[in-house]
Amino acid sequence: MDDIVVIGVGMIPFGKHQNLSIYDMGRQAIWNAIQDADLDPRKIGHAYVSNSLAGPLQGLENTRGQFVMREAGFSGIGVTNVENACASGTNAFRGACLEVASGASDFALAVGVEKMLIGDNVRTLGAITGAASPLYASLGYQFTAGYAMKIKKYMAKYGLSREDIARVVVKNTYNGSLNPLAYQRTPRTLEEVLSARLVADPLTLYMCCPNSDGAAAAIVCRERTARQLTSRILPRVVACSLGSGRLPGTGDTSISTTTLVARSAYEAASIGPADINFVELHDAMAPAELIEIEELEVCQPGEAAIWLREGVTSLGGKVPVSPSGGLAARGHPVGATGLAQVAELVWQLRGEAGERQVPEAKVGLALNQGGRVDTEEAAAYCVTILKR
Amino acid sequence: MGDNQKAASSDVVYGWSDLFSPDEEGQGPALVGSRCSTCGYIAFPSLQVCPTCLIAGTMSRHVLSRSGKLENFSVVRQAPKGFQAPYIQAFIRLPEGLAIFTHLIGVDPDKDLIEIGTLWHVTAAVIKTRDDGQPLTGYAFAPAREMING
Ligand SMILES: [Zn+2]
Repeated sequence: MDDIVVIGVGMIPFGKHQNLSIYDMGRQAIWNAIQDADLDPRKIGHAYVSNSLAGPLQGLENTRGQFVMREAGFSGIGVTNVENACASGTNAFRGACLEVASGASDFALAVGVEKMLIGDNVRTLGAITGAASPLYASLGYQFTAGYAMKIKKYMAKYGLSREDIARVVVKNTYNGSLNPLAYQRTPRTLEEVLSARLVADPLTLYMCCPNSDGAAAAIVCRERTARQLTSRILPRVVACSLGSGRLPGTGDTSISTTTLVARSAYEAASIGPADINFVELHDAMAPAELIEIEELEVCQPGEAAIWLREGVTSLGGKVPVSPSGGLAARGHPVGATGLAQVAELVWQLRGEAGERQVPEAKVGLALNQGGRVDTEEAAAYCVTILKR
Repeated sequence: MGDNQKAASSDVVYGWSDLFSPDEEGQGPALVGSRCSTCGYIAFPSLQVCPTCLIAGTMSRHVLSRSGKLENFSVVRQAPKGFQAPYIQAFIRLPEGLAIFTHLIGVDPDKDLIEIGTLWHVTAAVIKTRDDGQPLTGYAFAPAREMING
């Protein structure tokens, strides 16, 4: 993807939108992106629409994207529906980038929508469980407990305390308190995080991302096309790599799939992990941040908790991690999350992130992952790198 | 396999008849996967194509070890529909190398000491209650000592 740029992004605040349907939310995010791009919407040639749970939760089993686009005023253009569980958003973004890179369209839109707060938590929980493999789902696999096991193993490996993992939430809820689009805007203290209700040991309530409603969108095109329209900063998409979790015992199991996908993204971008100067993570359970920045090779094995303690990953540190607040603070409307990550990278690179602005933001990476295959690995991993 | 649609209304978990043998060769219940005759790869649930050789037709039915060591677990305190919290979600590592996702039964997550590395034994168990109130059967692992004591 040589010369693909993001010309506009849009989002609605994540949280509880009792009176908005997925169509209302999609329309608002799409038009926010169109206005941000200052683009004649007739130039958009194709839309990639991501959503994960509207089947089980809203009864919309097929062609959801066409209905979302129709409500936003678009009919006739090609629409591709994208479902990859919690990684759907960046997968839609990847589709839009490839759409314009191939020359099939001059401008492509990616939009993610999700409505999870339907007033029936048990039903929402059941729908999320459906993102696991059919056997895991029928055995009641819980993503919280899956993360809990992985984090327990990591804590034992490096001798980390409960304070070490709780500190991630303190950092991310502080970042989230500066983000007007985040769902949870209350900064939490170490004591509050540790004394909150246990969800799945060692994870407490504030470590887990809240289910949420929301939508986010991005419009991409070739750089030379955009340059004819605007002189603003245009973040370049230097990589958007996608991989799937591997079956146990296949390939080199000493390397995680996150690492493999990240390496392919670094190679595509002709950069190394040391060039990344801020990161948005898929911290569905906040402490997973420690594992993820190591798997991305942004820090050395065992270094993540030290970085956190020393403020390296705080706003103003050398490599701020999840300046938006991440999933635990921003909320996690699953099909929309990946595009919210893309929007955050764009705002940071354009220097428009307000109080949570990363100084000197030049190269940002987003890790988005979703689902579960018959292993401890996710089904889909997507690593996106944007550069100014 | 292929009975994903039926799983919701069935009284057994997904793929049950292929993955569980109630009394394999008269020696009690066992999980059933498949094994590659070329490289020895073992899959559970079973696969029809070996993912390491990527050659069709090398996989055949393979009965797994009945006991394995507890590798990792977490107590689920917020349960999806039909499941009764708290329950214990775990991975059991079998001697042949693969890890099995399972519930642990026969222990109280709030009272009993559950230790990594201890031996657990496979059995059939009621996993959840269906929408119509009937039980849904799947497999689970119980402490191996309780199996010996009956
Ligand atoms: Zn083989």
